[in-house]
Amino acid sequence: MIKKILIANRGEIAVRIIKTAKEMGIKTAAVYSDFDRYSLYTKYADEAFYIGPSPASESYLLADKIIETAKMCGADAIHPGYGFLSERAYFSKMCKDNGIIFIGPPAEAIEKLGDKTAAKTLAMVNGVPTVPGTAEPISDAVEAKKIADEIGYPLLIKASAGGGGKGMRVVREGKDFESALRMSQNEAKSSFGDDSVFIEKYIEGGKHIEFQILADQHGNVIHLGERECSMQRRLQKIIEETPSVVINDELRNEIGERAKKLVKAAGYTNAGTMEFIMDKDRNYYFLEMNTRLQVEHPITEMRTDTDLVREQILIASGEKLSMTQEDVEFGGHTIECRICAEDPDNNFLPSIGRIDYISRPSGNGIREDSGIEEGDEISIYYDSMISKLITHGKTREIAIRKMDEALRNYIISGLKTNIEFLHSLLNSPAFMDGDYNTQYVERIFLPEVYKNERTLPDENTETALSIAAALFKERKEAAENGTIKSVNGHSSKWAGKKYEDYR
Amino acid sequence: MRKYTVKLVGDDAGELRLEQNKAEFKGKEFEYDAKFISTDVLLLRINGENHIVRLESSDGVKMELITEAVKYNVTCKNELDLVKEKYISSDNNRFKDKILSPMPGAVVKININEGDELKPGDVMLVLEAMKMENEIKTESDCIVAGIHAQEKSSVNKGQLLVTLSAPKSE
Repeated sequence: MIKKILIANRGEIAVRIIKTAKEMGIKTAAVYSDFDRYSLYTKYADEAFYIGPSPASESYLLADKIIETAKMCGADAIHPGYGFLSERAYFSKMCKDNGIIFIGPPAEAIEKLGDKTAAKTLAMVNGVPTVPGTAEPISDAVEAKKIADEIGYPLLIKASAGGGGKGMRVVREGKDFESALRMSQNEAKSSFGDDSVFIEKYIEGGKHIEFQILADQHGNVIHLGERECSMQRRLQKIIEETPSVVINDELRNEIGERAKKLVKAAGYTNAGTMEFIMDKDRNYYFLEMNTRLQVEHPITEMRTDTDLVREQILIASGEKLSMTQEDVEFGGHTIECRICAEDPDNNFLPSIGRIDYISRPSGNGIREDSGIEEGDEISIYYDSMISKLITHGKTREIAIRKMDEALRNYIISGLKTNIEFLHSLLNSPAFMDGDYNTQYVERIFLPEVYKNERTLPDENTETALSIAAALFKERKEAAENGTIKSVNGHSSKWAGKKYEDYR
Repeated sequence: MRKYTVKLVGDDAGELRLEQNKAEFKGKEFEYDAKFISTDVLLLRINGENHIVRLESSDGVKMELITEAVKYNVTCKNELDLVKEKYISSDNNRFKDKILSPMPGAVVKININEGDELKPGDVMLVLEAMKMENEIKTESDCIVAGIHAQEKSSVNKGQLLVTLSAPKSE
């Protein structure tokens, strides 16, 4: 059994992994950049080690440095989390070559399934339907344009090493193709160090449905049902839920069994997620396999009463799966909202600052996976997601009501977040009815619902807002006149600092 | 007694009078208790009803306030503000001649040259922050008067990127 795990990640997912490891009696070691020296997860781990400057390319992406740190502190396993090195076949191999257990799939399986092109071919061979598109990754702009025109518009450009929406662009007309390709390649290069992309037909009005898979080293494979992740903006997921309102037991079983067959054919082990796009007629096409733990994994955990990180650790240790397909019980409904430091009223630009107050929702069926605490700075170096809110209820309606209440009670002060946006989206008629697809947020919600939704408050709330406005105004004036100090006496050290000071 | 004129977007302005623990708003009287939970978070108990209000931004008069996960734009003026307003003309409809960086980040690409005539929606430059590229676009017809940033350089929030002049009238 594994004795000490080094977590090659940061933020909420590092906290999440450490929690399970501690429950299992396994020691934990965190790694940090300059920026993260005192971040929550570094304090929560048993040990924490410095690995380099703040930019991820000089710290969290340094495979050598991370392996060296693991050996130095005596960690016998590494959990990569999501993003960063999690889907790099070479990192899995480096761990193995250095006698360290990689808590994830073997390098060969990442290559086979993590590479979108290879995965697509394997899917076709194993009878899983796929979307029309390029068979090989390309980086040449002229050739790409030719292929794009052949496939037809709208189409999707995707970084071949991508994930999390980075390096992805939808192109609706041929004239926009070149600039979209360039931006996509630039993002891919800076995020993954690889600018090759592939191009495929964009299924209009589709739903994003993904299946959670677990596979052990003894040939046992199970699926834990679907996650519906169609509430997206610029291909970034915003709200996820399980079950999907369009999937019945029969269809779940059919897709799940096909996904398991594909996973077996690839010799894949550990946790993985198979993504599908589903059109209006419930035809589904294999998109890609994410060979890691997903951001939205908690909704599956809460619906099936499992701990996916625990299963990952057991699988990596060579143990058998703790359950069979027949043991998997689906219970109730679960929703996740991603809390991001961004400004929905200003084109979702990243928001930075210092969190000077935080009040978290809690209660029966409410889970918050967070990597932040009061006093933390939010920087431009890393992803803007700061925490995740998950609710579980016996029915979809109860889960929605719990989420509504949780969002109302989630207060983060010191920077802009998308909490109000999430609350509005959760309460939109389309989400309430479950009748939404991947275009809903950008095509309908943002232009037509969100902007017009600013209804007037009731009389009591209006009075409260008016008195609050006057008191805040008085407080600001008093602070400027020097008659009072701010409550905690701090101001953000980031405000007014130059980006390059931190590069 | 402190007097304010308060207006919520989409609603009529109302008179607010404040005393220690007593308020009068739009002609109605209330008793209230107020406690700052943090610099920008206020607990208000008005006739016994609890409200938690967070201040997200403020320029002294215009504020963004959030309560129960809904954001409201509120303006709050005192007597001095009202006097100032009378003598200083509004500049709301002025041509936007300075393009400032909306966030700290790195300039990835500059698409324009001095003297270029631009149409609304033209991409002037591309900024990168948090690994995402963001296009900075024009809002109206204009001519590029000056470029104040270089490709591959870092910029602060609010830093001047481009100056624009109004198009020549036909």
